[in-house]
Amino acid sequence: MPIPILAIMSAIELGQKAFGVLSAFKGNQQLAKADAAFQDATKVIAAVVPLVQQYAAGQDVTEQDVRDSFARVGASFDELDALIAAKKAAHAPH
Amino acid sequence: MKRLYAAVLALALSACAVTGSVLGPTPEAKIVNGNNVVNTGVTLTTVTLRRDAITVSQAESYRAILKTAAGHIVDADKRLTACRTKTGSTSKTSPDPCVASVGDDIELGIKIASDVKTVLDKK
Repeated sequence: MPIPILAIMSAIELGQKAFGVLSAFKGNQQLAKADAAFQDATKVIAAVVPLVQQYAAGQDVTEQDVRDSFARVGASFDELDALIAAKKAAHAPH
Repeated sequence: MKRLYAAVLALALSACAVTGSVLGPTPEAKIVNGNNVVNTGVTLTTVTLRRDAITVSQAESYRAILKTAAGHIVDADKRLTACRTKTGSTSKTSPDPCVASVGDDIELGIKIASDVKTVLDKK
């Protein structure tokens, strides 16, 4: 298996171990923040997974893969927009 | 956590470059790759904003930049779709008459998204 994929897989495994450590603290009060960080880190990893899958699939990228990739981008922008709106609402003068 | 994000994203973007060169990518693969890079940039913006490592104003700026990057990928996809329709080719057609249809847009989109990532890595 080529080195870049090994590196990615290692990074994902490392990330999962880190997340495992975080989740072990669940129930700890400080963990509301760490839990959010865990979720966010999971999202970052999830964004990377399609790259690994694409490589594993070789050149067999279908039209559906193209549509799915646009859908992922759209969903990510929606999530960012929602967070921006929430942050603005939280800081709006009352 | 920031270092983990940075490490993962650096590996992801490196994999994009390597994936492209090793696979001899089809235009479809290039588009998927470009979208994945943009998606990673948007995700990083979201998590960085959630951690309050950037302001809402900064997030909006990065969003606009990433939208530009995404727009380049969309433009490339439109030209590819038009080429596929015109030539009746698919990603498996060899030689592929639509290789040039995506132009430099995808590389430009990746470059823009990568620049955002470079900035956010420092946050």
